[in-house]
Amino acid sequence: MIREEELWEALRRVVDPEVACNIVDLGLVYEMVWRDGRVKVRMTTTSPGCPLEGVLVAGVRQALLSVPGVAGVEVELVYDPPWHPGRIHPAAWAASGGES
Amino acid sequence: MKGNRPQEGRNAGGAGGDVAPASGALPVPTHAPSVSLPLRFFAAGFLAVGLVPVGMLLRPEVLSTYHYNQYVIALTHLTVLGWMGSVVFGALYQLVPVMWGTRLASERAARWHFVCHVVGFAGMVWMFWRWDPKQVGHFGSVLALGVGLATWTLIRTVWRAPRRTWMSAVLASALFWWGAVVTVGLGVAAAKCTYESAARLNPATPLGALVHALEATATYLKGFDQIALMHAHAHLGLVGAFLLLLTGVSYKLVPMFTLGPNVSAGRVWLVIGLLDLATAGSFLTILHRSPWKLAFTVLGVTALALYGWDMMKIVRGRRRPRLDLPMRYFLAGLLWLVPLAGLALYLSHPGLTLTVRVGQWENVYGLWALLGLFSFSLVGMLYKIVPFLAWYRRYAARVGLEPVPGLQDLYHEGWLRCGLGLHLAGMLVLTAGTLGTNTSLVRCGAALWGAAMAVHGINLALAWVRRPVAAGRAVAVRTAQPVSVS
Repeated sequence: MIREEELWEALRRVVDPEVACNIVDLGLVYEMVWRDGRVKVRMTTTSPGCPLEGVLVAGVRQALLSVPGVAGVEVELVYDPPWHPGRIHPAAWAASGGES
Repeated sequence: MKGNRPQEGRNAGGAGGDVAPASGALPVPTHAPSVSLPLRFFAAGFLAVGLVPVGMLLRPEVLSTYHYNQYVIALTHLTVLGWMGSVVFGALYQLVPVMWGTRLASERAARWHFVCHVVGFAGMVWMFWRWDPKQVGHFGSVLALGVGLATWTLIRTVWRAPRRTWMSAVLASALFWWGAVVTVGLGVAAAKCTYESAARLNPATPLGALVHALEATATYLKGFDQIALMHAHAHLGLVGAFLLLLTGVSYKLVPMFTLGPNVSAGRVWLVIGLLDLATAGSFLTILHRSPWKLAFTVLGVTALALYGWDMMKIVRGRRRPRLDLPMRYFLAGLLWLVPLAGLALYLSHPGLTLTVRVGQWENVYGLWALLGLFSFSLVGMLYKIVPFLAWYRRYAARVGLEPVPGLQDLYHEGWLRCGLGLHLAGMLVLTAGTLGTNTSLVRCGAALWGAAMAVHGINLALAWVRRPVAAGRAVAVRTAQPVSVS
């Protein structure tokens, strides 16, 4: 049985090294659904052509695969709707000092 | 719009995009070339920039007096091609495939470009220093071959990319001006040579045709004022090849690094179009010593004013409250545009007569552009790119599995501050030495400036050997609920 908290906890381990904030609080994760041990994530990057695109996608996959009960992960990278700075979680940003 | 709370049993829809393979393989760069490609350009750039202050220490009169001699030209080309050109091409090979979402058309061609680039600029600088225009032309041809390879590789890369944006126009413009400035430069070198063999070579043979063409080019270009020709050539390179690229690229990178708002594509097109027009118009009016050159300078300054306004809006609207040091370094570079624009308007004034004082201001103009504007911007961007490459090689595979250091952990922030201080001090003393025609001050400023570059070079090189521990700040930040999509 996959626990929701563990999935989000895993996603928060994926940190953008440029801003030192995890992808959930950066507002990069649009949607996460799972069924029968398979998790699907719809996510974006701060801009198309972000140099970290491949790293973040692979990081999400690795993080989720480390959660007990997860057998497969599919990551869909989308740019519609485009990410914008308003998607950053203010509390998280403040908690991190707003800076790395 | 859907929320991102997980719902068991629900299938997710969504727009198209890359679907990652299900296996948990190591993150391999999907678009970027091998790390060694940009790095070799950056290393060549730092070697070249290390020689610039050496040249100024040996020949401080390049700044303290207004006189075109072989040392001025050699050091200018060492800075422009060896330092700026190397870093710019290294950055382009790294960024273009990533930004356009494709692979580099030919990494092999890019590697050959590197060979041509290093042989070309090193040979040119050496031959300028010894003043052998014929050999300058030969090495310049090697450099031109490299620029041709780069243009072919980068245009093909962009052509087959799935993403077409205004960045394509920026790149195409900059590469066009690169081709133009190299062609004009080769023409200037040809005009400094004599062609005794033309009389005995048959123009029907390939060698004869080449020599006769060079002689005809030389004869044509000798009809222009040689100082005006050199100024036009320099302007073509600085504004067309470098400033236009810096302007366009920062429209992409500044919002990305500051988490600021993007500028509309229409606005970028306008700024780039005005800069293109200003470059072409200024080249022709400088070449012909036309009073209309002021009009094109005003056009260029207008474009830069719009650009500056846009950059201010991005920085003010950013979500990163504190700008990191590399970004501040980069933005400090852009601030040089303010005095440079003022100086450009003054020096373009049609009624201006060349006096010793005006000549000194021309030296200051070149100094602020090369060692101020472009060097500050390039150093700032290098502190973004080089640590990223080192980080990628060492930590990318661990993302999601364990805490990894941030990019800023890979360089020493204190050294960066020290380098910034030395850079500013060097510019201040070099400016004082130039305006005061004081060789001792120029030597002192050169030493400070060289020390700044040495500090940055060592700091960036150490990014490859530093082993920082992932700090708590780099670990995930907790929130009660995930953010909403809408």
